[in-house]
Amino acid sequence: MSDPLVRAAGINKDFRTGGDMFRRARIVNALCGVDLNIRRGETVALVGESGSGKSTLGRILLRLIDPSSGTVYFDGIDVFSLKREPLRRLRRRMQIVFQDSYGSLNPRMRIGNAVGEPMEIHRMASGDALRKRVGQLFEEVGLDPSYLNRYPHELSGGQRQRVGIARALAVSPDFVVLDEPVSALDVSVQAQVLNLLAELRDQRALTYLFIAHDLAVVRHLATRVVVLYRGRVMETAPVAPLYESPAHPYTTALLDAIPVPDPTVARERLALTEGTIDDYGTAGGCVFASRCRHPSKDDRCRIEQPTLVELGEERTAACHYADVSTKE
Amino acid sequence: MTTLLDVRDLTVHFDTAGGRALAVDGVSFRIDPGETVGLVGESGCGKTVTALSILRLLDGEAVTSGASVIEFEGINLRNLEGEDLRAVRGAKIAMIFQEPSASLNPVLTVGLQITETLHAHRDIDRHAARTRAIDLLDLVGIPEPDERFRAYPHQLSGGMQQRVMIAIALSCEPKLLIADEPTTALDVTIQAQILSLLHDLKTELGMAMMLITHDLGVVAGMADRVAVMYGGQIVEEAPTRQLFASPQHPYTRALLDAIPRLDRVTDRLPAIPGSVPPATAWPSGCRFHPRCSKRLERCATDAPDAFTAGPDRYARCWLAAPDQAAAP
Repeated sequence: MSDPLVRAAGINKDFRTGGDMFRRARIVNALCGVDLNIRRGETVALVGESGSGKSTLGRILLRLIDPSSGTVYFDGIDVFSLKREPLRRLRRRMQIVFQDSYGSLNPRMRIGNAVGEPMEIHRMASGDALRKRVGQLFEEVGLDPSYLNRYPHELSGGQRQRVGIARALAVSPDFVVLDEPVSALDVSVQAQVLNLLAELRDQRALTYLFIAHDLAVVRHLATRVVVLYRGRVMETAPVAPLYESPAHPYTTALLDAIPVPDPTVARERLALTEGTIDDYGTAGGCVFASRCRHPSKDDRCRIEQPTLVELGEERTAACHYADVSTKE
Repeated sequence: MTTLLDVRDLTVHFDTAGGRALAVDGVSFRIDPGETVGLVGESGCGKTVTALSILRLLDGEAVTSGASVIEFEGINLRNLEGEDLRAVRGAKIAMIFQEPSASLNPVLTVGLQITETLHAHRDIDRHAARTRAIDLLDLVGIPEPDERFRAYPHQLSGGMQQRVMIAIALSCEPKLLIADEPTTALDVTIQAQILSLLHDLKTELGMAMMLITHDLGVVAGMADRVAVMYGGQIVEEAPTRQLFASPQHPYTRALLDAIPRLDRVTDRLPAIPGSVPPATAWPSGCRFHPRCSKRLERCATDAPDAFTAGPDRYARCWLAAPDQAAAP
């Protein structure tokens, strides 16, 4: 097995919220001891609800924000040790596509310029060569070259997301963080963009971190899935086994929440997964205990925090009662 | 049973710089008391304009054709003005929207926003309104409703904000709730909770519901009947089980196929090619024909009628025409 392209080791991230002259601030552990390896060519899906810390982790991998402790190695280089110029050179190799394609594009910049700008910044092309490259990128992501001079507001959501993808790919990165790239799109357009992302990965030998809250969406693209809850890894598994036999009750809950497009089975499935990620009250125990529906849940879950244990076949889960064969 | 809402030949256009946009074109449908009707289609198909015209919430730019009829409990809402219209809005027909954070007033407590609605429609004293508001917060599953009564919207999560919106909508016990993409901005787990809540409340209160969504997976477990919209028209309408078991319109089929499913792994997701054309330039003939995989020669020139495709169902497609039944 080759060295991972991206390796995050012991990532902690604390955010301070509230607090003023007279009240103590609350510390939120957005990420707590997270390790993550992404091998070359892999698509790792990072899945969890809003507030699980998945976007924070994605941003730390790219050094868009700093962790409280821990570090990230990209192709063996400690990303947080780099000075300005080497960091700038490394940034060309790692890019990001955001959920909100409207908010992430300059509304006053024509989309052709938006796609060309990263190549200018990294001094990769100029003049005719640059224009030609932008045209090729438009073609590659399925945008009509006649749109070059349009503004972001003149495009549909799906087209804008294609611009975001072209802009990320403009500098020929090795690694792309896809932060909820299809969550804001119609189902019909989601499928188009997911297919495009798969094609681009295969043609350009890209490595992806695909962040999503919906396990149905990532199945098509991912090779491995990491499930995050309240800043902790709950389960990691290759894609097929995760869906066939989820080991962690939180993974099961995420799977059960997906609407089933079949009126004969849908109704009984709806009521699962009560509570929200904000439910506290589990000091010391498993962070998921208050919402957990595992039949074996007991006092141990409320007192003792489970650690991530190996379950074989590249699978790990942080549950006292993790069992690969629980789901019938 | 008498019909609760009877919309006949609703046609709405906007005059824009790019020409006349025919947002809704001859839409007719009915909702019976206690019934849930799903209105499904991609962005730009006219779903929201249809919903807003029922409540007469469209701004001055929108022109509703004279022949359009929106009959609620036997009264044409188009003839109501002033006090009479306000007596229907919010009291008999209530609406919730996609973005709860954009619908709630950020500088007022949620309690005040619920009691405001009660005072507007009912002769109720402050104390009774407060009691009723707390009951409503409890009804929609908000923990510690006494505390939350004093909370501001930003102190609540997206799912909790949508519950507050539902509480406001239900405050005057409406006969019809229009839910416009109520779960699109939420995580799948929270979506499952909100859908389950809406389903329970509807049964409990005997309310009818119009559920607008781009995701057929969402209506599967909720709706009794589904109307599929494309290009400002209803292209297929059928009882939910029949629609899923045997979609007659290729657009319905394509929307169903585009849903990422857990029980079906494919190399490529079946996407609908292209995107919804602008309402200023609907294609000739069948408006879906440029994107349709089953198009016939006549589809480009002749607009299909709404052909009966069984009891209580029809499809606006030449493939459903009686003379097509014999064709291969």
